[in-house]
Amino acid sequence: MSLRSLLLVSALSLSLLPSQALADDATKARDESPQVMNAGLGFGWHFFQDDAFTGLYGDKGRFMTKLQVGVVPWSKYVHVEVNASVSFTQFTGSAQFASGGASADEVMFTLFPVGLDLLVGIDIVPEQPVVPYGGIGLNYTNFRENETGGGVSNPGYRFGPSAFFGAAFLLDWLERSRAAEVDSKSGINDAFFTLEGRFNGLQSNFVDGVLTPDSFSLSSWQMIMGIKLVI
Amino acid sequence: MRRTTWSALAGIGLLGSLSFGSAVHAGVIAFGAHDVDLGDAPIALAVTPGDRLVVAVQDTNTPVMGWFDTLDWRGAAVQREVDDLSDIRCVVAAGDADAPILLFGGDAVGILNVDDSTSPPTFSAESALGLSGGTVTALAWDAGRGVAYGADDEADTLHWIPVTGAGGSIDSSTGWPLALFFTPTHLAMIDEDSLLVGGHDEGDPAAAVIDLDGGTPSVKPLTLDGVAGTFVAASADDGDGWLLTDGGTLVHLMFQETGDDDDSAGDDDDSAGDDDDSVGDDDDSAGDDDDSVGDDDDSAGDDDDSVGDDDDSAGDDDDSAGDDDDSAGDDDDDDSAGDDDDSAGDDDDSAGDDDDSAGDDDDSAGGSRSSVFEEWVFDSDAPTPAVDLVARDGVLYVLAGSTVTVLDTDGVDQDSLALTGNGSAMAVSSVEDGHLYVALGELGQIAVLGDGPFLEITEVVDSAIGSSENLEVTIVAGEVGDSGTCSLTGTVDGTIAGDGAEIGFTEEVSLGEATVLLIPGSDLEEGGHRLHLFCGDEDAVGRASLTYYLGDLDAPEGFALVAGEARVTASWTHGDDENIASYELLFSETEFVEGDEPTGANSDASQTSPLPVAVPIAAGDTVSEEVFLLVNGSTYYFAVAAVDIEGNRGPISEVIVATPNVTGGIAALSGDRGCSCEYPSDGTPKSPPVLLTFSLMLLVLVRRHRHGVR
Repeated sequence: MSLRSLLLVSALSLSLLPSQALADDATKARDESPQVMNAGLGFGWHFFQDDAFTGLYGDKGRFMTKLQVGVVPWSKYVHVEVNASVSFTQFTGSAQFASGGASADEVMFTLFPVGLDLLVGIDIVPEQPVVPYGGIGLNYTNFRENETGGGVSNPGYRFGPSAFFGAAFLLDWLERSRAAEVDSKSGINDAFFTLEGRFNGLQSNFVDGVLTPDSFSLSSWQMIMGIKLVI
Repeated sequence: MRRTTWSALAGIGLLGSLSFGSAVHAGVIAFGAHDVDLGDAPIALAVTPGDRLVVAVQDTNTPVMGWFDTLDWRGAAVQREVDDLSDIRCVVAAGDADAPILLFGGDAVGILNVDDSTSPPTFSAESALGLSGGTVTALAWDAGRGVAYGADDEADTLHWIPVTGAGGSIDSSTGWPLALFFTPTHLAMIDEDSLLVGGHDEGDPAAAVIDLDGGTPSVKPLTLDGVAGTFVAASADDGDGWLLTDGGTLVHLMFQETGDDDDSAGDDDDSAGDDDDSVGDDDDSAGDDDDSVGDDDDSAGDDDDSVGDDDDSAGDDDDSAGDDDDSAGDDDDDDSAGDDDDSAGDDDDSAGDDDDSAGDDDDSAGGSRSSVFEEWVFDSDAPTPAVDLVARDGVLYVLAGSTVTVLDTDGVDQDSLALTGNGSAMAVSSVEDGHLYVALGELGQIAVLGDGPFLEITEVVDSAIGSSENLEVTIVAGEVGDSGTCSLTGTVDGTIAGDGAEIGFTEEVSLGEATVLLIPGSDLEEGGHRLHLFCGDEDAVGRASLTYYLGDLDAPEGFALVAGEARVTASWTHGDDENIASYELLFSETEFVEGDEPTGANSDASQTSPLPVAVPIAAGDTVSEEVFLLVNGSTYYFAVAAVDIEGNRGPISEVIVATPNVTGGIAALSGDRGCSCEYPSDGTPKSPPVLLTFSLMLLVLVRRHRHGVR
């Protein structure tokens, strides 16, 4: 078993252990508002996979922000969410000549990915401190590449599947009474700190209705952390 | 301090010895070790009246031309695209030494005016003349009329191209374009009224002399008996015309000085001694080209029935096919159309012909003289296949493979010169300059052949010196095979013609030996200058030049360029020399060296060379300067020099090149299909704001729902 797998199983096991605190708060949990929807804000880094892309823009992580909203159709033992998200990423690289070689000019790459995800988390007990989750989704990423100094602008998009996994750490544990008060006043049931890994397979767009790989890929790994509120 | 080795020359090296009796090309001819590297194959050469060498080069995409100062030998001084020509075939120089005009032939005719007063020269204007699909494969310049003639090998015509300044036109005179009965490929002006045209007629060699005298040109076909193969060159020298085939056969056209074709004494007329009606003339007497049937007649020595005459024997201007006889297509005195006979346009009895009408080569004064060109056909001793011919001062230079053969006018081999590669074209300069240039097409070089004496700079120990130091130069001087001494003198700036400021330094130099000169800095002018050295006597002087810098500045270090789209950013390291007051960034589309004053400019002339650049605050800082609005795809040469407080420019850095060009990111360069979604006019995608709005509305609705429940 690899180290990564070991860590994952350990985290899963810990999250499922019924603690004394959980038992003590069972009564309080019964007073919580129902979970209907969620909203989250995250940030993290893109790690692009296409060598042609990284050859021009570098292979280091590119900072991104992400806003997510969704509904919670089911939240008993298994936590299910259907989420929509929009992200924003912008970074610069060195332009190149058509014949090859770096130019003194810069190019700026801007991405507006939008996504639709199905998330499934394991949430067995009330106020479970760590909720592991995973899911799949579809991603539609608009991009725009501009040459600096008033150069040409090239827009485009990529469409493809995505898969993700992560863990949501319940922040109510930090101050439980305050969390209950917030729930009663605003309807915010739970607040989580999330840590998520995601892969977007973005190398195609539609040609005559058929998804067809285009000249370069925007497929990337993302490491995202953020805050999620379940309402 | 830098150590720089220079190799400048003016008439160099040694290859062979020639002895034939004419002017400047007599005596010793030295092969130029100075093979000027062009970087691409030279197509054609020409020498202007000012002894500048023009080289037409078919670059990868568009033709360019090189402009070489043959007196100074700084290499390719100018390289410029010839607008509107996608295919360049030939070049000819026109104008005079003060205002040369260059004409380039190809799928158009380009005209460039040269301002040679600047260094490097500039081209103030140009025009391009379309050909309606034809191709000019050869050009000849008629200085008397200010007209160039262009051989169109697609339309089988000759074009009339009057040139005024940078302007010109095509076929703007009656009778032009002149239709030929064969395909013209080579031209040469024999004299002020006679244009030699060589070419082929369905594979067979064909040639004619165009009589330009009078208002309408007329075609005088040549017989060319015994000539086989393909004409590869035409040349003229002192009133004689020459054609050369690839098989080494020479056709020599000699103008007969005596007589005209008319009826006046001294004309081709009816007086004795003329081509008129007297015996021995082309007139109405036996033995003349006259108006009687059976003329071009039967007397030996006349244009009659003897071999070599315009008579009735094969090969003559007589009554046999292919002759100036009674068959169509001949220069004969017969009655067939297209002949010099009794039809219009012929040398017959009709108006406008070489007949008995006024204005013709007939019985009136002032007629044509083309009929008195005499053809001599002989095989030369030159190697084959021959590719080019230049006639100059009674000497014929024939280029074949990697050999230039020098022939006398009988085609006898006098000597041969070996080249470093196969030659493709030749040009010769004036008698005073005395250089022969050979295009080495395969090597992309020009070989220079010239008379001795020569002066070669073999080494300059350090071209940047202080005022108390000596400029150490090693030279080799001498006339090939000679011994003794020559008197070495020098000038600062000016040209190698000796019009600069004389320096006090003189020395007797042993010919043929390497001599180390120590020229005191006190004899030189401060700053960066070109030093010309001369060694010789009144009859002949070897010439060479080098560039030095006298002062306290060093060349900037760390000079680098980065090209972008329509711009180049130059950077270098600011030295710790307190004498540096500023920098000057030098740039040009043409190559330059130390001592040149490059005159580059960006598209709107908002930045011109030299471009002043302020010094940074601290030593060791990187100085950066951007030159923008440059032409994408053009190669620019850059160098930088420090300037002292008194305004003296120090030695320049290494000259390096950059080519701005269209750049892009991965989307532009990869040919991405782009976005099929619609964007608003400001280019911002719709999706994120729409999604955000939707999300916020959803939040509000749920929030209200939650409060309702509670």
